[in-house]
Amino acid sequence: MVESIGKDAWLRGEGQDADIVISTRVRLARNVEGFALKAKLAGDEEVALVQHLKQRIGKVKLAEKQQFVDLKPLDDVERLLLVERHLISLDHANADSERGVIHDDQGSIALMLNEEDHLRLQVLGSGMCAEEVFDRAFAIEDDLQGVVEFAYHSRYGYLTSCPTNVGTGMRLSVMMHLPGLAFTKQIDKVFNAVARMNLAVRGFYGEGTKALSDLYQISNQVTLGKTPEELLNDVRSVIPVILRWEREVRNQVLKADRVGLEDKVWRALGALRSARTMSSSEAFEQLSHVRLGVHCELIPDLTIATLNELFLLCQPGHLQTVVCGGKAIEPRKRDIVRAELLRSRLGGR
Amino acid sequence: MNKCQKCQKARATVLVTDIDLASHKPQQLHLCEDCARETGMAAALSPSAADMLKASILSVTEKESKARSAQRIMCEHCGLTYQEFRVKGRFGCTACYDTFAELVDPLLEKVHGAREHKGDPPRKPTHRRKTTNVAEFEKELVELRRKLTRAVKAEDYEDAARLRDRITEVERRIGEATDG
Repeated sequence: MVESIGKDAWLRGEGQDADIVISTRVRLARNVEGFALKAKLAGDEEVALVQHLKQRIGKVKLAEKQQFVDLKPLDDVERLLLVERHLISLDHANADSERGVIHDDQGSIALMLNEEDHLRLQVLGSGMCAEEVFDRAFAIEDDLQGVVEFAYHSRYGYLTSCPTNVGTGMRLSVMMHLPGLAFTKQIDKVFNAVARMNLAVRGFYGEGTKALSDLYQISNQVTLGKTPEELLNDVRSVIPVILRWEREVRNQVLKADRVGLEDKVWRALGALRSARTMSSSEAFEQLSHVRLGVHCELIPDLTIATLNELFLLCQPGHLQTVVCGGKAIEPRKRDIVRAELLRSRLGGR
Repeated sequence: MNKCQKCQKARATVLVTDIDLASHKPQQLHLCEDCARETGMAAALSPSAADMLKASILSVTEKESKARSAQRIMCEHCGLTYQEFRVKGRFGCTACYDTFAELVDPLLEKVHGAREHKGDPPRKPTHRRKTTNVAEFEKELVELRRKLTRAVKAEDYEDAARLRDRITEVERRIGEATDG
């Protein structure tokens, strides 16, 4: 797994509106006809389910390269690494059951087996690419329908463990970096606009998780009563509005208080280049400021791809894998190692 | 001096924006550093779907007195009771949707603002016959393994031997069906 670190396609900082949209993701929840749902699936049935899906999906070509990872024998650091790459969910990592993930070598496609639903199919892309990930996910789902029979109800649509996902089973999320709106305390505008559209704002790792430094995930709240295309359009319609606000705010701040913004951004870079210990939350906050600086062309010689990579490398799973060879180390030591890594990557001393 | 709104003791030095679970409106919390650290550096965002669902289940079940009797229903396929569903927020099998339909509909209305799916139905699997066979074999295998465990526990070795043979046979058939 080490060789793929920091190489996932969604990290490239490419694609439409990549200055603000980090990544776009779609996930489809599906269950297999003939098996009980997660809550009533016995241990031996879980083994049979994972085996069944692994075998069936193995016959479908998802990408150039694809691999199955059995999550049970992995240690905590290895699982964390997959969570940070967004290939599995936190719940999937922390579960105790028979489970796995099939993913491609680009980190764009991930199929979680025996998560809350039997199958969670996810496609992830860099920048704003809702249509692209949507089309790709449904094309894969269509291929899978050739080999797996999904539980479907004539009235309720695709049946899921939790009724909040029933119908399309689809969740489309756009991860946005909104430091301007956060900085000027106008982020409430986003919450209100999103709520009016019946959409949700979520944390960095998805549902129920906390926001990391100015990163917000906008996604559809409902999954029933609208076609997948309608849901796609709902999400797509609100993103340009938020993009415009964020850009306007950045310009306003640059006009009104350029020195103030420069000060904030350069101080952040100074801290990243000089600090001897750095917690992940501080690293995220400072990186967020620097990222804003790069976009406002206040800082030369740094790319968004580098910053995206550092966002990833600063997280505990990656840090412990890259710097400590996969060994778990205590948080205090981690903060020292993180600071060292940041100094060396950002030309500090 | 502003006191921390969480512990009510220390001085509030951190401002955290959170989303109110009921109104979905942002609210600001003044916290001390310790409480803020405990909460994470930033606020929790939208309520998780599970929390929303729990709230919805409660209000639906309270309102719909007609559905009271349905709450005592147990799904005959998986044994899930409505009480269990209320606690976990998860169904036990696909038949639960029909078993608890009377309660599901108002719940869906509340969560999604709709009661029916809109979109294309799945196309039929091209290898459906084979898939079903394998799925059936695999289900039988699960059942056989369960019986085997019970037989071994009960020290019924004659039965255990018979079951073991059957398991080998079913495994062979699955192998045949999936190789071809």
